[in-house]
Amino acid sequence: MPFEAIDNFSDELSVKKAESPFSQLVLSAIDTANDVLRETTVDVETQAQKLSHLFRQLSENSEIQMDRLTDMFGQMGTITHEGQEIELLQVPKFLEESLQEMSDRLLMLSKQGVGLIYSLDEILSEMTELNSCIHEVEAINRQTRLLSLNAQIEAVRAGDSASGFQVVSGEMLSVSKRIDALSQRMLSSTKTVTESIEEVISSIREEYQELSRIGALDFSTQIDARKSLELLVDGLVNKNQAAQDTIGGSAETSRQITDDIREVVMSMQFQDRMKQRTDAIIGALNTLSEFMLRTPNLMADEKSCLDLAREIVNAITLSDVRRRFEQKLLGIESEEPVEDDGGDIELF
Amino acid sequence: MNYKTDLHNGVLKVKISDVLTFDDHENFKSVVKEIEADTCSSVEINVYELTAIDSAGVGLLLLANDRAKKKNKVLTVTGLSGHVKKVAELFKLNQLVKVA
Repeated sequence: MPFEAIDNFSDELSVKKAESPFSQLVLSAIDTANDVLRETTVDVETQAQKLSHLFRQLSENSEIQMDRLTDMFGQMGTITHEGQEIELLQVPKFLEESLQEMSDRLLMLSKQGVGLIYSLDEILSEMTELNSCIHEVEAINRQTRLLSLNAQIEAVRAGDSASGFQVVSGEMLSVSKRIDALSQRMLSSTKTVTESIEEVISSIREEYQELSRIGALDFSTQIDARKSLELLVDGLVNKNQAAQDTIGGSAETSRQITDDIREVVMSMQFQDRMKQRTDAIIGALNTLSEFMLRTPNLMADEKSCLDLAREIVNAITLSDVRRRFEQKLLGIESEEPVEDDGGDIELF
Repeated sequence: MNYKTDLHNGVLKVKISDVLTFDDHENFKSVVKEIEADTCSSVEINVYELTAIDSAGVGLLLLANDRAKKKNKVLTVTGLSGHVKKVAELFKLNQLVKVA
């Protein structure tokens, strides 16, 4: 029965006069009990709604906080490099690869530098050999020139009979001069090439000496630095992992809190059940009061009282309350056991 | 750098000592020439008595390995220890040349 209807009926009861003082007493007690129950129900409902609202807000805020923590949890595990997201765990590998690439290039440079010097040394050695050969050709040529001169002298001394020989010796001298010129050109070229190679080797050596200072550094420092860097990065990763674990734990706790609050909000619905029970009791009391007020002469009549009991029971729709009234007023033992089903809400 | 060579069972064993840096490249040329000229099928460079090495030194070992390969010979670096071992680890020498 709605509160408005109960109020109207209570007013009606209070206007009418009961027959006996006892009846009046019972009616007044029922009326007062109704008022107290109604106020209690309203109070509980108002407070429950307020609490439910607060818990809902708490749940929403908790969810927002959980989302933030989850977001932070995700962000802490990565860094941005050249617009690319890199997992922090990949950083040591990235550094390792960079260092390795640098080391490989340094070694290749060292190897190729020395290899080049070796090759140029070999070329230089061959050039020296070539130079020596040209000098030998020059010596032979000088001897040839002398021979041709001697031949010419002898041809002149022999007179007309050796005129042909004079022509041949003249040609020999001419060839010798050409060979001499060629030797000079070759010597000049080999000198230029040798000087160039020596210059290149000297330059490479100087450059390489400069470069080798990098390679000649005490590598213990680099080795220690690399180990320190590895330890530093490992420490960073471990710290990050610990922070992630903590944040992950907080996010999990926050999630648990949100779930608990949702459960609390659900549990707050008990006031609905309480209101249904209270309404059932108020309805029963009102039916009883009406009977006492309108038909006080039937209060001792067994059949009328039985009918009244049935009327009270039939008006109750909440099953467990109805079963209880059936047991007490009609003596009917219910086949179904009366269960205390806690927070379940019976809809009707 | 100082070195000693010894041919044993077709293996040219080269034992180098002291330090191996860029300054030793002239001296190391003799080692390379011996590796190239010898009739051995494999070469073993022992660096146990080497007290220090720099990147140029490691480069010289790699050069020796290249020249040995050209002559179809297998070169192995042995006796890594101390500072030389650390440098070899730094440069991951075992990925560039056979190490035992």
